[in-house]
Amino acid sequence: MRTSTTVVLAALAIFMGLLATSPATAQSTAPAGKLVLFADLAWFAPAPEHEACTVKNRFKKGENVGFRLYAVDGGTNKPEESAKIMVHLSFGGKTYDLPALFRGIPQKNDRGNTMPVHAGMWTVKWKVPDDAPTGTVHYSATASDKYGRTADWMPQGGEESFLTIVP
Amino acid sequence: MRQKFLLSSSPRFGAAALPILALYFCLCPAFPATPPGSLSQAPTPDTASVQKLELTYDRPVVGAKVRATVGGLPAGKTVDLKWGTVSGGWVIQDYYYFRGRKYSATTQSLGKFLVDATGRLDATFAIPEDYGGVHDIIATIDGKVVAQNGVEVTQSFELTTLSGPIGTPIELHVKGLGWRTMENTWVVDWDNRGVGFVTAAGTRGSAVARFRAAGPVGDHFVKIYTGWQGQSYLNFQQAPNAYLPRPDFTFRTTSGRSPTPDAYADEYQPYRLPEPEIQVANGKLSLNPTQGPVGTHIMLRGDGFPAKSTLDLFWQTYVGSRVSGNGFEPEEKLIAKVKVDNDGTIELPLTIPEDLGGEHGLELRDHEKPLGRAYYAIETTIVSMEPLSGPAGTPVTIHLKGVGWTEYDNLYAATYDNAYMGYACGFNTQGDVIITFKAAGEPGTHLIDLFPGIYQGPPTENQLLYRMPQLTYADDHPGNKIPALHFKFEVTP
Repeated sequence: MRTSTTVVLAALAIFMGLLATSPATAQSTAPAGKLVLFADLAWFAPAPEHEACTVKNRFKKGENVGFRLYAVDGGTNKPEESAKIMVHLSFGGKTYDLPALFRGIPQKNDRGNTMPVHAGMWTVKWKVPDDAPTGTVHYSATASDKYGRTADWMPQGGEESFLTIVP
Repeated sequence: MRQKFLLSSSPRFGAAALPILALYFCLCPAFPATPPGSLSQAPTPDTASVQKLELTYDRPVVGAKVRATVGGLPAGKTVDLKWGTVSGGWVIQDYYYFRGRKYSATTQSLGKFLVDATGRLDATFAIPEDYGGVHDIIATIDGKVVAQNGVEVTQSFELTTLSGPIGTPIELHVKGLGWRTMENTWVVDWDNRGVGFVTAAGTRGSAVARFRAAGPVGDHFVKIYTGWQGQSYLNFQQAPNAYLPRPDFTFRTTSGRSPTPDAYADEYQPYRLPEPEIQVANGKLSLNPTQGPVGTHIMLRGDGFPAKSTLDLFWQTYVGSRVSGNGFEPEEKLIAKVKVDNDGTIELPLTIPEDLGGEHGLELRDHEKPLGRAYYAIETTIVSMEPLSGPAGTPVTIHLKGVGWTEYDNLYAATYDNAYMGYACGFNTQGDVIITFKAAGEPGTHLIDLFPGIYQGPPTENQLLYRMPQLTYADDHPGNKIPALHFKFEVTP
């Protein structure tokens, strides 16, 4: 009985210690800077397409829309690698929530090949569906990190800067 | 990494610790250095059944018929078909600052259509006279979106005059010019020489570009290029906006003389002046006319002013320069003592002083107290071009008065035989402009055209359409619509 009590107490003490270093508790010691999120659009065309990664916002059906996102600790100006980023598309009466892939470490693409590492970058590839209506696609992105900080982003150039699907 | 460390470091934990650890992992989600490995791209419909509108059309230009069909809708309901577009245009601030363009998204109705008994919508509409580019087409029932698609409106160009002698006015009618940066500016080249740029930024994509037929007699090639900075983008097939049209026309310059005068200004459009401001109860104040050249005789009339008083009349203007470093500032000048009649009326003939083109205030004051202000607009006028003929190399002088001072009407951009020449500003000399150059070219008639342009804009503006001829000046010039000025010079053997 005494032994089990000791074990429970010890476990409790360890648990409390864990809590002290857990993300939830760490919010109180979060960095002073804000989490900053920004992004752009590029054509994630398959190699050897010479226009691969060309920055554009007009896409045809079947083309790969590339979202390139960056989450930065506003206090240090360094990438906040713990960030989870989600891109939200809204068009044709549908909403798409697309989780972004952190490219600061080696990742596999959908063919199983290792993709180049891009420090501090997250990406999402979205193939425009064949049944996508022509029109303007509003999109935004959200991020959260291990300190509990969050950030929102949407294109800053107004209607002109949104993703546009063309015939 | 943290999860792995904790688990491998806990062999000493007793069985009682495991539920606690389980509790910990439930409460405290880890933030792995590795991201989610797969993409979840399944869409979540916002509404139960937003369908794709099927659209059929030939060439998607302004006025083209579009058929929109979709099935599966509630029979007997009315569909409101909406056209996604923008509202906006050029932005002028405080009368004299050019602030670029600004648009905001909006919709307009294409009409209401009944869903038939089988639940099918079959609607036909004409593409509205509107900006080019992608437009959403949205079908709603009772305010809810039920179907959607879009159309990309392409531009149309029509050269309405295809032949005529030197000096013949030529109109290029454009429709469907876009509002987006890369789709809103075209450029006219005449025999591979840039004439000026074409916009319809504030006129919903439609405008008329105006220029004149230059010599010599024979065919001349008119190429309409895109050029988002107001200059022709020559390798357009390699441009990001290669999908836009760049039409070609041929104009045949014929022998003989155009009926247009040797020197003339286009007809002046009315200025949009503020209404008179009155600080006396039941008072009235007016000018007649409210616009004209310097030296114009006008009548100031008023009613309701203090009887038998003598008031001061001030002429308000601006003086200075944007480039001297000394800046500019408002200035006013006492131009008359005004005697008010026994019945409180005023009737005073005035002569408009030589000053800057554009809006000026005439303010009545009782000592320091303003009683009323009316507005007058000075028009730019041609004083002279001398001489009108001579051999190549002859010095030529063009004299103008009433040239403006704002960021959008303080200058004229000049072409010589439809080739860009330079620009002239009027602010530093209170609207009095003298342009000198030497006549050039083969014997025959040569054209000098002065077009409105835009002097400068905010540092945030990415399209630098500055100090170049705007050929759509009459329709789409920001702010005041000042006329183009036209001259002919005869080069003699």
